[in-house]
Amino acid sequence: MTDRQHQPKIAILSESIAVIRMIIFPAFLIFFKGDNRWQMQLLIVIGMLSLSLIFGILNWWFFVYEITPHEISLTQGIFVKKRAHITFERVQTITRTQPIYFQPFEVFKVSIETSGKKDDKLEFKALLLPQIEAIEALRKQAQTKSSDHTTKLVSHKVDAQYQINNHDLCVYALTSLGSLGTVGVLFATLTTVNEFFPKWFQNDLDNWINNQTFEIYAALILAAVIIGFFGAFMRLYNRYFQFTIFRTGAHLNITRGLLTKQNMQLRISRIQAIHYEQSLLRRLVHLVSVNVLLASSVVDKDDQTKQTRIMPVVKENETTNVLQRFLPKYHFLRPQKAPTVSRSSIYQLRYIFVLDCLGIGIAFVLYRLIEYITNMNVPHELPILSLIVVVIFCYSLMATYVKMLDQAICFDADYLIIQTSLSFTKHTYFIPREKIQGFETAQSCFMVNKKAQHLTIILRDSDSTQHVTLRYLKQSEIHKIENWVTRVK
Amino acid sequence: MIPKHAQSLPKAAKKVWLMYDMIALLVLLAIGLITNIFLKFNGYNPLTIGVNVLFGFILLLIIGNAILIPYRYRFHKYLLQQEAISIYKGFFLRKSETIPLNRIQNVDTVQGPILKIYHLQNVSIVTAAHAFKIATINEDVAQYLRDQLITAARQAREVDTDD
Repeated sequence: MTDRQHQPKIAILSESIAVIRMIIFPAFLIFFKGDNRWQMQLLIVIGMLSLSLIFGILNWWFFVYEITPHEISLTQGIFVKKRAHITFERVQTITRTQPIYFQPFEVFKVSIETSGKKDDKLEFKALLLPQIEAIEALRKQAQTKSSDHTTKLVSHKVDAQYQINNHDLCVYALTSLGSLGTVGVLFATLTTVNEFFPKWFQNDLDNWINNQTFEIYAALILAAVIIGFFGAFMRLYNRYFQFTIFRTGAHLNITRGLLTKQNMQLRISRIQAIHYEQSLLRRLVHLVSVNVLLASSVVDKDDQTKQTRIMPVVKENETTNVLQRFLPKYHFLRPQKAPTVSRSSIYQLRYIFVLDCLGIGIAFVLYRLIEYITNMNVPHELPILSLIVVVIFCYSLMATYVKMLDQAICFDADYLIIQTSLSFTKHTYFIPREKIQGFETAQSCFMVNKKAQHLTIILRDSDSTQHVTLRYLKQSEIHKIENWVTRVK
Repeated sequence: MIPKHAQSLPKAAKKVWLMYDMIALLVLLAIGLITNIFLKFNGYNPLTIGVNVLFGFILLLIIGNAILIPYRYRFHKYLLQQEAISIYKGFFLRKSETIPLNRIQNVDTVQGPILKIYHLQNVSIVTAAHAFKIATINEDVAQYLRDQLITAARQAREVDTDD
């Protein structure tokens, strides 16, 4: 369809930024720790920019691609040549991302993923919109089956659409516990940056911090939490701004983002499972986030999550109605309480209690050893250690109790629905039977008489595996599930 | 839990596992000796004590593993059925893993020098999500199993959905 061609020249900017990101840390070290004369520092900056520009141009020049009606192939690399071919039929997702510096030029970064592992994807640093649309059209054409025509899955009009409103987006951002992570990142950044400050400044700062009152410390911590919370809110608001999902025939299209805009296209049948996620906070306000597990190496670079969110937040009692419009083949049944053996909660609590004792025991021995070697003297040691132990026991035992209450399962002819929880966050998976890759059972010799087993369902998630486990199920019920899974469809 | 008609591994598997443990033991002893030469066999140095405690712990693990070979062998079985393949392990902690045949992507056989001496092979069954290994089975059984699995997977795939 096309001859071998280069990306648009704006890709040089993106390539150069990638090189800058790679060398910024060593350059930063040399800048602050090396010769402090301004001429030298200017030279370092110019050198870094020139190097990134040269490598940006070279990377762009050696990146050539070709599109035929059936496949896309590219060659890249200055010293090590990489050649890749992907047939459109095998494409799992096409993701286009538009960072803020690309918006005036109407170009996008494009990632084309298959079901292969990590390296099995094509990444374009910059493509024009018509070029991307041509690729997307070829993917759709290649993945449209003759059966789709008869089942009316071929459509050019939008069959269902959902756009998040500002209120829901704010609720989603506010019910996210990401602020604590942001505080941690803020603290780590400040500690790292502190090392680059001049010695006198570091000393003054240390003195100031060491000579403050309790009220000032409390105010500082509160300020850090508020900044972290605000940062997390803005991060989520930016990521899911104008989040829109629409379905055309058998394909989903997801668009989102304020500063960095992202668009993803995928065929519904390539979804491995639908995943409802409900943190403790969202359970209290009856909200659910919906993700999909995909068989491609697509990763959300902002938070390194592998799963793709298709509904940031939706009311618990409306989830089925909303999702059914986008995933018409899926059966969103409500799972029934898992058929566990009697006293299963007690067995699980006892197991976690023993694990806690073991972990705390080992930690205590190590702590005493370090204390002995370093002659460390901790004030109020006993109350602090007791508090830590009580918190660990309470948290783990309460989370375990909730987990056992949350365990649920059901299946019909085509779908398995499993519900479990981890650290008070409830996870529900809707899994098509043909997407279950295998299953495991485990049973200690103490469980034999009780006829109880643990069941783990194995799923493909991104380029790795997702294990979903239910504990202390009745053996007879597990046999039913085993028969259902292995029955060839 | 283990079905009566599940297949055991060949008896030579025990010898192979013992050889693996012996090799691991020799490598550990060699590393331990070299490390102690570097540390000048100084029994008062906390680093020497720490390193030797660690080596001792690993040594016990390897010896424990070797002692448990008859137990592992007795409860390590596999079963090829019409629609799935299963592997069973352990008595005190009983584990089983099953893969429906129509999820199999490919079947690999691997044979290292020790396995070659005893005419054994490892069969690795790969799905879209993970790999599952039947270790140390006879060459002819491995070949038979491989052909069976591929044939079964192909037949199953013909009636499978898209993707």
